[in-house]
Amino acid sequence: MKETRRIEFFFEIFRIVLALAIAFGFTFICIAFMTDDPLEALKAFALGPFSNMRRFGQMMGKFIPYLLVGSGMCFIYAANRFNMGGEGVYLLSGCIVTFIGVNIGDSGIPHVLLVVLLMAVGVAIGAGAGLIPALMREKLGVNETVISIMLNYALMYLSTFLVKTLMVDPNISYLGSKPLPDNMKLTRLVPRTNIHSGLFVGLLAVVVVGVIFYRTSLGYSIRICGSNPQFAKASGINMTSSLVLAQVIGLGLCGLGGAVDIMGIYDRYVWAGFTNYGFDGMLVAVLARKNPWLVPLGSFLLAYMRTGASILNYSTELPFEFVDIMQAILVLLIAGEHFMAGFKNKIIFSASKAKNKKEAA
Amino acid sequence: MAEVLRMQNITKIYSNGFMANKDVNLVVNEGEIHALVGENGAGKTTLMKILFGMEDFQGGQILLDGKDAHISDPLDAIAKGIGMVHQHFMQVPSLTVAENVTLGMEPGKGGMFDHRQAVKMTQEISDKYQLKVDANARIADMGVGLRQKVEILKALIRNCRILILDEPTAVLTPQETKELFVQLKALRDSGISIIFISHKLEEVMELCSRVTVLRAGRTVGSDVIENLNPASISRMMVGRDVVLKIEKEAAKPTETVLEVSGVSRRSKEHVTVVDDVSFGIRRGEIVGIAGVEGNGQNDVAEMIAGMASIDHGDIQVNGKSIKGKKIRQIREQGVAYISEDRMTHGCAANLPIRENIMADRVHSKEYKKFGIFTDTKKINQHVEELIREYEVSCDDASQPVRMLSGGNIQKVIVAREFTSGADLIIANQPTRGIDVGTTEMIRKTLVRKAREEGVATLLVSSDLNEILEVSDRLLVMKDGKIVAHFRDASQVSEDLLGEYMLGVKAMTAEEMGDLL
Repeated sequence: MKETRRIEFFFEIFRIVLALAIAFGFTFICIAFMTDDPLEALKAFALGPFSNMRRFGQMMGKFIPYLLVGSGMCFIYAANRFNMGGEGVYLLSGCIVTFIGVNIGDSGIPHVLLVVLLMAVGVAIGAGAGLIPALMREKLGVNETVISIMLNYALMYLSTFLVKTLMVDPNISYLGSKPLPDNMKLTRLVPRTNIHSGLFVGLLAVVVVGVIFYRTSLGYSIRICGSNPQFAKASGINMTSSLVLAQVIGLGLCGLGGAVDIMGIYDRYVWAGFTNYGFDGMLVAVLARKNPWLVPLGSFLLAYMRTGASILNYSTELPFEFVDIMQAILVLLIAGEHFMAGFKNKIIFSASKAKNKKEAA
Repeated sequence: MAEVLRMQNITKIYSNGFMANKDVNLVVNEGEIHALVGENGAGKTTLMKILFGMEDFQGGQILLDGKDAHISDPLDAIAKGIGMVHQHFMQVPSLTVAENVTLGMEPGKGGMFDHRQAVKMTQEISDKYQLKVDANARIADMGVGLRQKVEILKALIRNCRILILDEPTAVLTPQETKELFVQLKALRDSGISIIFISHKLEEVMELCSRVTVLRAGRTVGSDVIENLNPASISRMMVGRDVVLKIEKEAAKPTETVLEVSGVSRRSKEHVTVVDDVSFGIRRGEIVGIAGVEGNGQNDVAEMIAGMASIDHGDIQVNGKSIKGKKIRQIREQGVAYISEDRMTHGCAANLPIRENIMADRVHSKEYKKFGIFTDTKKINQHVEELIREYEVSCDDASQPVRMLSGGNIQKVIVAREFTSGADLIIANQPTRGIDVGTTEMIRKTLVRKAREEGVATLLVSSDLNEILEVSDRLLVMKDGKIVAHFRDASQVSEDLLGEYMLGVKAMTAEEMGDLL
């Protein structure tokens, strides 16, 4: 049956490539209809993110938090939980990190220590908030999707409340915190771009997640629980703790994402609504087929699409939202297990027939 | 005799690439009982699922009355006169026989259900074929034998001409089997063709007029019964002479490992499924529990494994109670469990063989490095070793279990459970639906573990041959109670066992003696 495995592997790749091709093709058709100069628009979209360092930096600025939220969501998916709390956690963590940074940033604390401390706070906020839907699910049997969606709103308004009451800067005309002290800002790896040292944190997180996934007993337990809970139970795996931990670690990473994003790119905390990074983490995990080692690829793909769309948005009359169509097609085709399944089966059938003929002969 | 069914060069491939049927041919004549035999995993059930429209197929043709028939789904199959009695009955327990039988073709007008007419229709068919089923009885109150008759009724009332029976005797006692055979012969004489799936050759010889033998997905032969004998069919089935006899010395049991004292359990529906059961198993002996399925044996096995709660009484393993303990703790106390349902409780189909074997032991210190990381090298070594020792046919340890055949999946499961270092192994239907080679390996390993390593073994099985061959002592369960205890299983005949299973006989407490 080695043949079958080879075919399945080939199709996994083929499916993703085909999904990409269909999504891009469809987008280009839309572009062609909507603009006067489709070739120019196409160029802006496809090559825009690479056309200069600033734009490339823009893309990397998205790529870094995607690494964190994406690998976090891999955990939650592997446990077969649909916990969507990443978004709220992202906001609250950014908010608290700002609050602490603004208050102690200029107290003479060394830069590295401050940054590490604030990242730890980000993880703690994420993990702490993640406990709410996780415990409710595993201890009380409440649907984690419903709880986490409600939690997102609670955390978003909590963040806005904190900004308004404790952190607001009265000297600016919009709602935002006081400016972040330079001491808490991450180092720019390339000056005047969004490429900051959070990149290392993101890549490190991917490695740590990959190791936990495949090289610790917790990773084994989480994957077994997610794959077949009844078997996990029969094997004596502590399901409650494995599943709670999966969600706590997952949302902890989303919290870290919020902290790194704030410290890497922003001058103040200005998030007044959903950033969508928490939700995008789910897309990244889907694009990565729930495999942490593929998260960098999924993150890059999504960051590239998003950046291309925003360049297109300010260089032509096309709205930014059109990229959502492309993204939707991509996710549908990649997540849809039945896409191309008939074709795959046909190939498996004929391979099996050929093999049997050979054996008979 | 006219030919009613011809299945020609049927080829079926599952989406994991496994070819379950290879150019299979089957011809059934009008008014005959045709045996479809083959060892477990030979493709009999798959072939019948294709005929009944439950599975698609990749090559070949089905002819009904000589005409090409496209059977798209089970409804279509029923419309074309094909009826199937599955191994697992498709019934609504809270409804009456008449309601179950007429479900989907309810008599009545304008959306109203004519109950009286339904009962009349059902009773007429039952009486006509002497199935002796009361149309007003509730399914929940009926035994397995009668429920099987209801399945047959369902097919008959839909005017079936071809009746498929998938291992109908597996759930029956010898006495119920005899009664079923009389009725099947009556059906045959009234012109119905019956396809009888079995691997019990005595039954085939007694009942059937022609036999088609499958082996490893291929037709190896088809002949009238007069030209065959059990030995020749058996040779065709497995390609060699097999004797499923287990050679074993007498048990020399020592100290008690398992002590079950007065346990009871009620199901979710508040039916008492285990009723004050007490017994013990000592080191080095195999105790079998026989019984018609659904008489509490499975519940006893699950309670000891920690999968089901104990409502009353106590279970002790190695002198310590397991009541209220987590499954991990019970396993650490020395229990291994081969579950009845291997795809639900025995494996995670999408995960690699490695993960499936490591599931119960990945937490132990033995497989850790620096206290947190798993020792990949050691794990791979261990898994490779087990794959070799248990002859799992696979590409490598990272192959997902779903790609293996049923027999090989079971090998992965027993490889794990047999090597967990347990003092007590609970084997719940360990060889059901498994090919002869794997069955033999599992049975022999059970005996070897008991004799050489002194493992106490509880064997729950509805395969009478297995339970009589492998067990040292034998218990029989009926309605949640132990009704018989044989000190020496090898002295018990299938007929005698059947009488206890059916409840015709029951031992008194004195006759059973000490169950330890």
